[in-house]
Amino acid sequence: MMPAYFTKKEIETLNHFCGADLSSRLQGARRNLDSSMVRIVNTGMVSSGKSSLYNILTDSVAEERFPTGAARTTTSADSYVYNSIEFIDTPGIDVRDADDALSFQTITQSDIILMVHNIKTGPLTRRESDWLKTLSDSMGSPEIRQKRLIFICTWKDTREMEEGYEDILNEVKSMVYGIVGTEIPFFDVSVKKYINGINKKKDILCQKSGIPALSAFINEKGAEYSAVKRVYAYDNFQRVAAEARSILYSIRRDLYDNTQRKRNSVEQSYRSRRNAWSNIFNVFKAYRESFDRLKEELRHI
Amino acid sequence: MAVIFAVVGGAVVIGLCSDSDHSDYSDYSNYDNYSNYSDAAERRERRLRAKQEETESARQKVNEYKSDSVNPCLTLKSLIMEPGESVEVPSVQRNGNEKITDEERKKIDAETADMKKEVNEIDQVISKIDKLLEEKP
Repeated sequence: MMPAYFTKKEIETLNHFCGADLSSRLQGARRNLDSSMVRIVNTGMVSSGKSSLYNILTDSVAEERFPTGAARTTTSADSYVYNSIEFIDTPGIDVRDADDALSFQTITQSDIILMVHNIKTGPLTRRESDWLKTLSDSMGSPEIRQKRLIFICTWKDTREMEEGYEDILNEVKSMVYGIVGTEIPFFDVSVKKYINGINKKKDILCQKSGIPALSAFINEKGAEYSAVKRVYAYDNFQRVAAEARSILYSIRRDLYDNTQRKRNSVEQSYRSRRNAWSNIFNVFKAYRESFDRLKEELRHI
Repeated sequence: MAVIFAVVGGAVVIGLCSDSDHSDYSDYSNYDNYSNYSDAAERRERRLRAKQEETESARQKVNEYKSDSVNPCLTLKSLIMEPGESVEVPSVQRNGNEKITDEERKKIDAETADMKKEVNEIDQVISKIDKLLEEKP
């Protein structure tokens, strides 16, 4: 059970004023401070090959630790620790809002994000672009993005023989650069080819799949990140907290101003009531003085 | 001789006294003077009646005005029940002012309650964020 740093009411307030995304990022960033282990999370469209890739990266092809299939097989964020790295598999995006929310929440609690794209579908879809932008924007500076984001094209085997494959890859790279605003590690891999290579004991196939290079990079990246995780995680939490505070203070100021305006408006309307009462009272006082005077005069007749 | 003087002197004295009394009676028996006295009394009576009517009219006016125009501006039952002719005027003024001040405060509270609640909720979250930032792991 994850510790809850915010009460239910506080989370409602955060969601209401800062939006669910920032609220989720803030909670995730704080939770991520509790773990010293590097967390690597995957994300991408349904059936882009995220779980298959994770089975290979965690050496779990045979037991299929992360269930795979053509349909929406991953419905919760499954995780597995391998080589001192926690691999977290998330549901595909753009199918269910609940899946998207879970993916985002999981990503906010993670260190390195593998954005997985099925190259068979060509360039990034609008949804993928938006998703990548959301992730990228949540990370702050380009330096942090370079350290935390890795872009992976899967199903390389389906298109690599095509004449324009490099062009497609370059187009995707260019889109990613445009969205992230900096160059991030980029890989194209084929799980199928790697498994063939393993099954046929053909190292060349394995190498050509791009998986060994990716695996080595991730392990190296994991170790590198582990040394600075505390600093990065705390910096990230500070940054997200500052973002939330800034929004909350701004809304607080607006609310305060509105309260003052409302108060002034009521006071203004009551000023006329006070004047009306003052007039009524003065007339009454004059009648009463007149009556008292007459009474006195009567007494002296 | 002495007796003569005494008799004559006494008669003069009596005569003088008798003359003086007669003069007084003569005044009262004078018709004009009596008429003057009666007019003054009547005038006084008329003045009294006029003043009484004026006072009664002023009494009605102050009571009606108090009941129709002042009472709706008051909250204290004792002041509302008391007629305008006898109610304590400074208390009326004070209660009328208090009523407006209370209503104004209630109106401000009602119209700003939601915003104040939201400000409190925000303050609570900001405090929590600050606390978490202080707890650097």
